[in-house]
Amino acid sequence: MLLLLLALVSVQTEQCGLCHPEERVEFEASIHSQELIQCSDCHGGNPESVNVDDAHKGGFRDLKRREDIPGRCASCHSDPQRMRVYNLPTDQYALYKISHHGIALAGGNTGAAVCTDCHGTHRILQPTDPESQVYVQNIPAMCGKCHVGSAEAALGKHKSNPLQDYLTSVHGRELLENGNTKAPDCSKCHGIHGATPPGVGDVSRICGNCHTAALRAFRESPHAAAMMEAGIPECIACHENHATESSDFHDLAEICLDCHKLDSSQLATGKKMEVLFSGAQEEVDRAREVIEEAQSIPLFVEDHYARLEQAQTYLLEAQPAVHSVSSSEVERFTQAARSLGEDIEAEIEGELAELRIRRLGLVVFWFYLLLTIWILYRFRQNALKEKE
Amino acid sequence: MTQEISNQESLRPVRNSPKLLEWIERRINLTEIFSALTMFGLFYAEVDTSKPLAQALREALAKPFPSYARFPRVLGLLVLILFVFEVVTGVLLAFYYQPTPQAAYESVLIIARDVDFGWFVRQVHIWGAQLLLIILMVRLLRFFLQGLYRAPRELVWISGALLLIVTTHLDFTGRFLSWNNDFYWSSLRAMELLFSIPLLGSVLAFIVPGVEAHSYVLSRFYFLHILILPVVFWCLIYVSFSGIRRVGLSEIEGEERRSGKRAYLGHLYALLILITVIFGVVVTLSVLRPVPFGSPVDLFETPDNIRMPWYLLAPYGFVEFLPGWLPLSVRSSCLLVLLLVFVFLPAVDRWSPTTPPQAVLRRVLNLLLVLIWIFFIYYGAALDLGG
Repeated sequence: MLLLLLALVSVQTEQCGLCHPEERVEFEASIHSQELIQCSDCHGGNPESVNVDDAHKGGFRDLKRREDIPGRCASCHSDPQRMRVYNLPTDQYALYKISHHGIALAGGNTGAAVCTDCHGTHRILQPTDPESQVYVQNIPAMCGKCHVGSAEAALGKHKSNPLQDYLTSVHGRELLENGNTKAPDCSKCHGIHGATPPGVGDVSRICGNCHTAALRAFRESPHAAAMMEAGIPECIACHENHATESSDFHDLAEICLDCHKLDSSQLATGKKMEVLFSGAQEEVDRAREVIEEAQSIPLFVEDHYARLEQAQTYLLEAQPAVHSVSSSEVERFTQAARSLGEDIEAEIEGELAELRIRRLGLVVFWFYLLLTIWILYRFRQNALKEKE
Repeated sequence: MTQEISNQESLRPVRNSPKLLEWIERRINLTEIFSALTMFGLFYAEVDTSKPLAQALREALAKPFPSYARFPRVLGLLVLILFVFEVVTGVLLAFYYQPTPQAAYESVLIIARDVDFGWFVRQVHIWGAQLLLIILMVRLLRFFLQGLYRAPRELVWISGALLLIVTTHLDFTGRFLSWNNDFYWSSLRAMELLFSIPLLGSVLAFIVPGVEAHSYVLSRFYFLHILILPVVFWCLIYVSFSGIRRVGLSEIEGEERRSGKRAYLGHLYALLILITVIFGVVVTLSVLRPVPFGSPVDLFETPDNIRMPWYLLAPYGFVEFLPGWLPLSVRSSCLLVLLLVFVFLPAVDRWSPTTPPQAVLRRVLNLLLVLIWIFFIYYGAALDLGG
């Protein structure tokens, strides 16, 4: 039965590869080939024929026109009936049409990205395959093929090189250096098939998809309405768009200076938050040092470690709270972290002081030791004297 | 009170018990037992075991003898005293220690943290071992500089040299047992050096299969540390002291010799003073400079700054000083040759100076060798810190 099946498949195998060996090799590695999709499913024609003319008859499509490609892919991928078994979405084509790529293509810019630019032509792999161009860690390089900056800068689209910026950002380092595949690639902010640069008002929503606490604090802040009114893209104004950096509290006030005057009350608030945070951070660091010292003795520090983690969590919570630009909001967390750190330090210092009693014991010990030595010495002298 | 004690006849059997002593002596050779028990420095001279104890002692004490507890002769006794400290603290540690990779670190932690005075016992054990190594080295250095390895003291030298080697093994098996990351990796470094020695290294590698630490290695090291090596140590001490008993103590110029029970009592008091002082030193070091506890072994990540055990700095420096194009096996063969020369120095060095200029030359040569060795320690330390 199996042999019969194999024979059938080999009889029905397309002959396209005879003249197009490279394409055939590429195609055979693809997910489409695995799912028994054939050349003719996209290209039409008479695949069983070994005659060049015959083979290219019967509705053959070479698909060389880039604008034909999205529609061709969509003929299957927008069909819910066919995609159901793969559990794939069918809205890609609809999204593509409203994306900047799709709009540009419709507007006659055939250089705009089409499906094959991202997914490959014949060798289309699943997005979960690390070799795929659309594998999460390959996406930045893939987008960067076009969005390198210089060419686009000429068109006035990007002031800088988005790929380079991204690679140096905290997101890029996390994804590519630390291998954290949960870190955002380009598509997490710009969308996948509906890729579009977010506008003012949307930026905070997009960042807020992950940074929920920061978004909540930001919305309650005076910044939210003021930025909207002034047309300043919210998060980007302080954090940059592609070269996003994790917040460093040591130069928090410097960021405020970008918009606020040197003698403004806003700058004072920024400075206050900076002091609150770095003070709490120093305290927590000190507590950690004391714990490590105690551990090397060793003392029992498991309990202190747990509380130190709690203090670290408060510090972590203080970071999104900064977006409320309210120093009292930040102080709620830094104060909690600080007092935990102080408690830990005081407790361990107390235990270490107990240890210093050992040194006191040493003095007493030496007193008795010297006394013993003196007595023994006297005994010895007597013993030797008696002999004479 | 001092008067009372000194008025008593020392070493006399308990009052009114000569009959009992006689009764015992007819059944068992007390002199032989006394001789064996006092072998380790308690009694300076040979005892005629064929005679009754009292008579044998009288005869032995009649001969004048120099004081035992006097620097630098005292070093041998210090070795013994420190070894007894190590045995006592070691036994106490063994009450709590569990020699499996899963439990070793935790059990040492419990000793150092939860057991009353456990930290003290552990620190005394560690510091005692370091002092023991230092004193063994100083003792050999003194033998070497004063030429005390020549006839008839060959066995004293050889046993002393072997004692040093055995003690280094005791130390690094001990480091391993603590299952502390720094100690573990530093003992691995020591093993790397030892394993590279041809012949000797393969024997060691047979005992320790590979350098990966699994439970077998730990239990083997435990067994070596608490039983085999201490027994070998004890035997070597016996040879050392037995040899000294036969050939006599080394002479110190202008020293008066005494005889009799009183003088012997004086010696015993001096010994007690010594034990007290050395105990004080070890305790002080343990309290003021406690060895940090460290983290448990991480088999999959070599920490930075792994130090060679300090006593292996010179051998390490020597091996690294030899030209790098020589294969490691050749370089460590040189180390093996050096080790053999060190142990069997009395057989290798047969030149005994006869004229004063020769004696001076001899001294200069010996000093030069010691300086070269110090250079290797320095070289090894510099490499260790730099690398």
